[in-house]
Amino acid sequence: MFFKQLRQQTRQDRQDNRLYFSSLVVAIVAFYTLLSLPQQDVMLYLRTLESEALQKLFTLLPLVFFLSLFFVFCLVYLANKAALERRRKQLGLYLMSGMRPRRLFARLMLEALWNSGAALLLGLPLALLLTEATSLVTAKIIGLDLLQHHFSLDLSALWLTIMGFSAVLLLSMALLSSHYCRQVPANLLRPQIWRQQRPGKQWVLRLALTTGVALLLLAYVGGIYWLRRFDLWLTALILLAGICGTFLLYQGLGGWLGRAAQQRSRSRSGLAIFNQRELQEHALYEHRTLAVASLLALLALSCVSFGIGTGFSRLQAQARTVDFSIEATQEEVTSALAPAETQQDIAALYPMYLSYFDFQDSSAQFSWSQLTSAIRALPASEAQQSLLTNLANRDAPYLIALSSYNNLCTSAGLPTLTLSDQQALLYTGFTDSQALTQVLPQALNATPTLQINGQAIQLLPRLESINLVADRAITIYLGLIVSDRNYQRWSSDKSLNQPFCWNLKLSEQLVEQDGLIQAITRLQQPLDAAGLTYDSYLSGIGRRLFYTVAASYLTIYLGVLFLIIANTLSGLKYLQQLQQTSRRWQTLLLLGAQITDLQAAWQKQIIQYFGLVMLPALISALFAITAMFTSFLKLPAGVSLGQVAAVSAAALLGFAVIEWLYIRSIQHSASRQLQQLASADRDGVFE
Amino acid sequence: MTTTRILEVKSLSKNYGQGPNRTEALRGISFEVLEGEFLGIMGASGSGKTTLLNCLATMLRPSSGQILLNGQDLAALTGPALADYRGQVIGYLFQEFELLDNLTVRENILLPLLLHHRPRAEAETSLSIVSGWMGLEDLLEQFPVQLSGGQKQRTAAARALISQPSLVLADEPTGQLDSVNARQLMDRLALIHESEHKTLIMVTHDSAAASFCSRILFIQDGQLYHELRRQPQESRQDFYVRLAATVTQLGGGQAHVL
Repeated sequence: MFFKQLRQQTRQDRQDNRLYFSSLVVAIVAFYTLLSLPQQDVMLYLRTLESEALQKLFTLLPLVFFLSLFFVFCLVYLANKAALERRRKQLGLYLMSGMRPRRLFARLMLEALWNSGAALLLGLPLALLLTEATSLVTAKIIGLDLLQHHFSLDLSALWLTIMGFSAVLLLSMALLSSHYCRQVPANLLRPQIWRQQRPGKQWVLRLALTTGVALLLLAYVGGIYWLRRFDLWLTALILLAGICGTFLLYQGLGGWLGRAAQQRSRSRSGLAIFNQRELQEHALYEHRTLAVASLLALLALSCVSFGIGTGFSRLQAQARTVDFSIEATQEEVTSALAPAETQQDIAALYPMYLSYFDFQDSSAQFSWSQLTSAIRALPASEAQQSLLTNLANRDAPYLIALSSYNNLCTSAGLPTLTLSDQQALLYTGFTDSQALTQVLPQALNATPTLQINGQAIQLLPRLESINLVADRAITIYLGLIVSDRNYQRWSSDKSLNQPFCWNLKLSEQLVEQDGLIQAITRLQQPLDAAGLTYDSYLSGIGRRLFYTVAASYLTIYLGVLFLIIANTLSGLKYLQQLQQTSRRWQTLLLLGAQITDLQAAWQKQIIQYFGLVMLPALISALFAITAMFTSFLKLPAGVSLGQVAAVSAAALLGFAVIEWLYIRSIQHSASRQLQQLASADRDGVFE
Repeated sequence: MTTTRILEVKSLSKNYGQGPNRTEALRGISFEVLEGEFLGIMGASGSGKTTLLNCLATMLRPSSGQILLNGQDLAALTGPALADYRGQVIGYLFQEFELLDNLTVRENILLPLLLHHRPRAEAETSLSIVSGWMGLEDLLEQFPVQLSGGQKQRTAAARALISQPSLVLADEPTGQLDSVNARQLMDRLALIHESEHKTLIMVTHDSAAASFCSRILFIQDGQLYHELRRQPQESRQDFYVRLAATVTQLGGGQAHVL
């Protein structure tokens, strides 16, 4: 009997709160997806390439998990509070019938446990399905054919998901149940007095609105102009201004909406005024919830934008010029790669000569002065200033021997360069620096000369930027490609026998036949066997893949979670008010409103309500994203704004779809309630 | 007073529940109401008077019988016709006011007209008339929570009257009011009844409020069992005395004593 009642009650709860229950299922899916990340195929593969960075990421996961748990706890607490409020009378009757508070508490906890079990039973299979699908799709998108997919069930993730989720649900229910069970029955049985509209102190609301808008403007401007200084206090101030501004804005909006309704009440039809008053009521009495939901939506939008931005800044394709950069002597390299079958896999093997300018030489002199003059002659800009500062702090650039660079060009299928002893070319590995890729070439157009050891060396009007090594063995801010003779004269390697590394390029035939990853893996074997230190192009792929996966996974995960919580929170509050004020709709029916008119008004009201939450979030997000991209998140020079805009538009579309789904779900629930009212009409709704 | 029949109730029955739980709230009630009449319906708690009023207001569907308003059968009303009937043909005064607490007094009173898309100028004119009748001119921008019980009921009365309904139905309109406010409300309703020749049907078990009526129907256990008419020259005080005596005679007060 007891369990039958329990089952019926929990089924009823789930039916009454479909939106909330669906959000719980999504939360379970999100938890498992996050926690099983280390065991997913892509991560297992990346671990072989970037184990250190991955380890750092994995240490972040518990933090993100507990943060998510906290947000889900807030959601569960609010939703359960609303559910128990609806059951006040029932709880009062239980107590009046002699049920002991302790027993009532146990009953409520059992209900929570039952609901938690139901959500887990639905959520976990979905989570497994999703993680498997994600693994397969990611592997497909990234083109990692070697990923041999196998079904994985991460038991520790499963266990943590179940424990974390149930703990959150039970803790919130325990806190709420203890409150309700301590009440005297009369308190619970007394009909709950629904708040009634009070005009409130208008000047307070006006002050809140003005201060809120002013603080938000301060946060917007501050975000764009001061965030780039990376000052902790300024950043905290901007955040505080934004958060307080949002809260005050919503507090003040109640008054503003009321004034607008009063002005419009002389010109608009009955239900339009009614809708506006309902909206005003939400702002007056739920302004804190609206502010929290709006801030969560802002966080969601910012997280996803950050994810896209970070993904882009790491995703920039690195041209494949070298497959291996081996740090060893010529003898060691030739001996390791001596076998005939290895030899046929190699298209090119050459020493990369690059070295510091040799200031040990007493006659050494180096001057940038003509180049800096040419840069100064350009229109003033931040990038120009940064370039000048950098040059002022550098005595001389790296020297790169022309023969090495030409070998690189040949193996990359590019034309070789010709330089006389009086000429040189500037080189940079920082291809995402605007100063180097946009300002410097303009200055080079003036063909300035460098003064090296008393000799004038003309700089050719182009900037080279082909990768010198396979991965990140070296990234040169500014280098100088010079003839081999000049290299020998100006570097410490006078006899040209101390290469920085040996570059190796695989035969294209092998790459085509086995695929790049397999081919690189195959050549790693003799190098590993010889105990040589090397960098491979694969590390670059791995690192970019890691950053992309890490950035997109974590930020989009948090973004979606925030969005779901924001929507569930605002949706629940809306439905709660709807339920508590259903008598108003009955009165409207009795005053002669038609069901179709009520339905239309209801649909409109829901859109207006969500607009009230989302519009300030969207405006704030616009400024937050601008602030991000003008401060700590700069796009690399090669990435076009169009690409970012396209991905952002797709993300925004995703948001719009999630938002639409929520609005439709609320409209559906509201419509169901209205239909219940309509069908009860003339059957004693007022009895 | 004209002698046009505005309302005919024929063999009206209303049952709640089924099988052993079936309760007969109305058992074949029949009566007529003339245009301009102020009809009171009295009876003990559970006698069926509110059920009768709710059937007239289309809030309840009768189990059998007919209600004809100006010859139109209310059972046949559905959709827009039902909405028009509720919003334009009748005005309803609830015991608990049923004001929308998030709308101002002005917005509450105007609601029935605006729901039926009546021209704004006409609505504003009607508003000034009914708010004048009910003495609400200075309270139009207030919210219900700022009003006293009497002011709330006068607002609800203004809302019931604004669409110039053919029939005003009132369910215990003084039930939530103190004697001063109840008297004020009844004075105003009586004045409107006199000056505008409105037809009013009021359910009450307050003899003082019922003394404003021109005719009283007494209901017991879902059936009409007595009728009392106020004589043309009879003062309200005299009618009250007669009414109180009748209530005592008929055992209205004793009905609660089993």
